[in-house]
Amino acid sequence: MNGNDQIASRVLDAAVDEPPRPVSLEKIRDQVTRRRRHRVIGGAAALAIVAAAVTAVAMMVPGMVIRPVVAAQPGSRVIELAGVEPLTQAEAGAARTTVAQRLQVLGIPGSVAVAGGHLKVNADVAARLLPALTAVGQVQFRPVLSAAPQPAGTLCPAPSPQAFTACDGQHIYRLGPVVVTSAGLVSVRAARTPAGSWVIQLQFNAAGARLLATATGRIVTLQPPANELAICVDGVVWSAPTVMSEFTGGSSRIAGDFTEAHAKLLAATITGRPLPEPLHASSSRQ
Amino acid sequence: MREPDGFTDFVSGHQRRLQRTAFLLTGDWQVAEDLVQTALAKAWGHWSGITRADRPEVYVRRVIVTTYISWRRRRWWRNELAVAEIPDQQHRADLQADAANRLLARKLLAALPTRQRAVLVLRFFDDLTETEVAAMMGCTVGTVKSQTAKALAKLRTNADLAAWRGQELPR
Repeated sequence: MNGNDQIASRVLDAAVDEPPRPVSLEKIRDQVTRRRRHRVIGGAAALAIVAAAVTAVAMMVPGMVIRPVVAAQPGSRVIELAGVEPLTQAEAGAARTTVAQRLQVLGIPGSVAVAGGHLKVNADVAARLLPALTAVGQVQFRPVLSAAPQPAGTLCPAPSPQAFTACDGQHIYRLGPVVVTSAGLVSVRAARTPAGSWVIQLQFNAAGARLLATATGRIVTLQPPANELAICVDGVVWSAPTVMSEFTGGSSRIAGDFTEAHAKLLAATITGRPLPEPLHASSSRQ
Repeated sequence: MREPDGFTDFVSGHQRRLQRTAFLLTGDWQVAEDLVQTALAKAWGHWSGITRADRPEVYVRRVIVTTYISWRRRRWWRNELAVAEIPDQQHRADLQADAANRLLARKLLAALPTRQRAVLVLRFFDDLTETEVAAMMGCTVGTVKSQTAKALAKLRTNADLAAWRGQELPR
């Protein structure tokens, strides 16, 4: 150890004494059960959204129907994605593009074709990743007006013309008008940080970035929970981070405790133009 | 709500160490307590994954460091200034020497920028390697080296170090 190292150790050792009290398990328990406070960092070049764990995938798309599928097996298989009614040619074309983009975000090689009024996906997609292909995937950023705990076992109150409500499985949010939708997003991808954690990176177009900057500039000074910006996907709140400063950048990051699969699943779900309706999937081995 | 298996043992076994690290980063026992509590609450929610993938203390310390850096970036707490004044050095010199050194050491740390302070604490208090610090802070080993060098240089050149009492400083 050289002199410099010794200085550092001595200064550090001298600076610290004993903790005044032990860590309280009770307080930790409170914090675990309390509503998760999400935080947002805005920056000149990029904004970062730090979110706690995002709600389960099943929550994302209420009413989503997944037909029984065979268990994931090695090798390609054909998955058929269909709406309640056959898709029109224009709808099917747009949906094909979206599904192909989502496959790419998932990192699964394969192809998507239009066949009559439905889509045929030729790729090996595990059953748990299928919701990423079948969800509508409409994202809305909305300011939070109020938040209240949602009693266990109750349904989320339906939105009405007076109040747009949405839930995250634990809380009922009343939300303000839409700030930015999927139309304001250019790209979404799951990325690995140098520290090894997984984040979702959102890139906004000029119009989306401008709208977000205006809205966050307005709510940043408000009292909680009105300084939160909810990220709604298909009517379910993924996360309601607190806005800490105005967003002036055109990109953002959602950081949570994502596994690779979870990050890719969420990123893929909000990729591309939203689908016209939730699709259902059925599959057969090829 | 029951704590996950092994959580309580982990807390009782590591809390002193974690709190002291958090204190060296923040310079405030209250904030340090919040920081450790926040990190442990986060670990609680992911306990089975953490204990499978990692040593829990690595995870918890990483959360402490990254949370500290992000708090500082957002200036959530601004009340940490260098300790106002070193006590009168004429007064009961011997008894006061330790306390004065403590205040001085805190003042020196408080003068360091966020990341330099973090690398210093992780390298020389927690005795992590440069590679471990880099992984924890999400930067390259080169950055750890340069931040460490800057922090040490700053400590050395700080005139206040000359006021260090009681012992000769290593050359």
